[in-house]
Amino acid sequence: MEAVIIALWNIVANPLRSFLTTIGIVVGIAAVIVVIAIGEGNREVIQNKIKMMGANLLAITLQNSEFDDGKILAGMPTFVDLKAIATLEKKVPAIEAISPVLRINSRFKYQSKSIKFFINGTYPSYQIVRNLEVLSGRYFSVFEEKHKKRVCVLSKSAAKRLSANGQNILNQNIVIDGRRYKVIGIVNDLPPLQNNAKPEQAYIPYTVMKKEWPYLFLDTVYLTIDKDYAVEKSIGEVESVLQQIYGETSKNWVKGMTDLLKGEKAIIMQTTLIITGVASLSLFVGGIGIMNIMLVTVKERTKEIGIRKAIGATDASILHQFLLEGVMLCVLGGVVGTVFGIVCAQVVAELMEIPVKISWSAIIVALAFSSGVGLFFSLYPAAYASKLSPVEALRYE
Amino acid sequence: MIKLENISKVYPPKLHALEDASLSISQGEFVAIMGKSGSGKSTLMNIIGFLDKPTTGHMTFLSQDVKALTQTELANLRLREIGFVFQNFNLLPRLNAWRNVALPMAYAKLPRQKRKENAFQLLEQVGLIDRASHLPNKLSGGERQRVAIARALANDPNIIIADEPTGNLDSKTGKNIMDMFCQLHQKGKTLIIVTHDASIASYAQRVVTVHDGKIIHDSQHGDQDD
Repeated sequence: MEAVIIALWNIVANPLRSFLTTIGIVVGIAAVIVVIAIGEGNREVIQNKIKMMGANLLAITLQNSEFDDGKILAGMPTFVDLKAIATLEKKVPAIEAISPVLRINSRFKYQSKSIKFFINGTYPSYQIVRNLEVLSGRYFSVFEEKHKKRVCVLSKSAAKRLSANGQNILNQNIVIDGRRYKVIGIVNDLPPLQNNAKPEQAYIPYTVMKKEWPYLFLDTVYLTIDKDYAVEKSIGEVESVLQQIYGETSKNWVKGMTDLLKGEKAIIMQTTLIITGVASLSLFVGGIGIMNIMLVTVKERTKEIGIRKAIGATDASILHQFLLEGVMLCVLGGVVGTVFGIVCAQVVAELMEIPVKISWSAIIVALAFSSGVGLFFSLYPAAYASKLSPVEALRYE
Repeated sequence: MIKLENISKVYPPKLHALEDASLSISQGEFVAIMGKSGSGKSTLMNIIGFLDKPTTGHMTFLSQDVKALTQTELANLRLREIGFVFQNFNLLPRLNAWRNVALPMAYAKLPRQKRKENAFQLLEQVGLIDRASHLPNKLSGGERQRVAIARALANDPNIIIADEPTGNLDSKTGKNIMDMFCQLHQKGKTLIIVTHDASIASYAQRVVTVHDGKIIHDSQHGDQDD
């Protein structure tokens, strides 16, 4: 403890020099904090999404769908047919619920409001598949789906925007693309699978959707795996059934939650990589700065080293003294860098619209990192100091 | 206690700072090592004080072979057995008087409270108790040298080695310091004073004269020159 105070004392004795020396460390540690904050923030969001949507959610998507980059390969079927869905349900016992989804951006009218958002044509089972919580009313039934009833379920946000806040839209009629539908239920907003997906959504029976928008073809099917079955193994089963129907081309159609969130992860990974680069570069440059200033310090205090050795200091205690000083210098830089990093993380979160999370573990990692850098880069100067001959050191003026 | 046999010290490439020096110092002796600057007296002092190792020759301390000791063991000998007093005091400028005195005790791993107590006691002995919290640059030369003496006594060593202890002091203060050394000698400390000043050497019981790296005279044995 006393040694720490003495080390601090020596650092504070040259405030400007210490400050300039540690700038590299400050920037480096700030970058470390930002990297960890982005990583943890992102992980938390993804975990929340997985938790909300269920880790057992799978999507069967064709090329040109929302999850792919739009490439249509020659000879590839461009739709999934409903028979295939029935076959899957029959052949894969692990499937808990399955529903096709047709979607299009439509105009919704209610009283004086006229808004555009997405409408989804689904089976009744879609409620189970996407874990939709019915806030009021109900989801449409198998009967309604089979008999093409014009009923509509709105997401909470959609209901709110159409009904001028608070006014009850349940059991009222709304107009979608010129046709009248009865609002039979309101469900919670889904967490978006992509950042750009809006919370306003409407759900109508698949049969109705197909009838009103006959040109839409089915390219997305969602399903969930029963909790008694392993998700990874079930993906394989679904894939093999699809391959029996569609052949090799269906190879990459089935995607689990981790695949669905891949795009989002990739962006975060890129950002993280860049900042990690900045962090390591500035920590390296900062470390060299520390080494340089420690060599200067040792040179300046050669006489002191001689005196200490003359009165009985061992090489080891001299080594410890200068190592501690280098480490303390870096830890001070690390503390400033941590504060700076927390501020930077908030700025990054604002500017890039990505979630960040500052945790104690990030701060501990950052401080451990800075003391590690301090230790490593003071090793040579401290070793040099400890090996000085006491006679020559004493003679130094 | 300390025995040097045919000790030489060569600084590369071929500066013979000390040649074939033999010397034996017993417990409780008061020895002055005399010589002009560059005579090799400082080299001799450094070797006796375990600050430097001889190039050739045999040296024992309390019958143990000094050449065989590691750097750490030498440091421990300096810590426990030797107290140094230098011409230019060599106090650490950023530590106040009592912390300077306490420093060797820190290296000896004494508990903190004990260090402070001992330091104040030693400062009282040298008459500086009221200056305990002063930084060295706020003390006069004589006061600084008294702090240095207190520091040399910190771990109660057997041997005090003083290198021109009065060199930077006026004659009155110098005499004061020398009286202090005489008292230490009376208390049983072995004293080795390195000086070029015959009047300082005259305080000692035994005078060893060094010239051109050789011991040319030892008052204990008579003239070795012929």
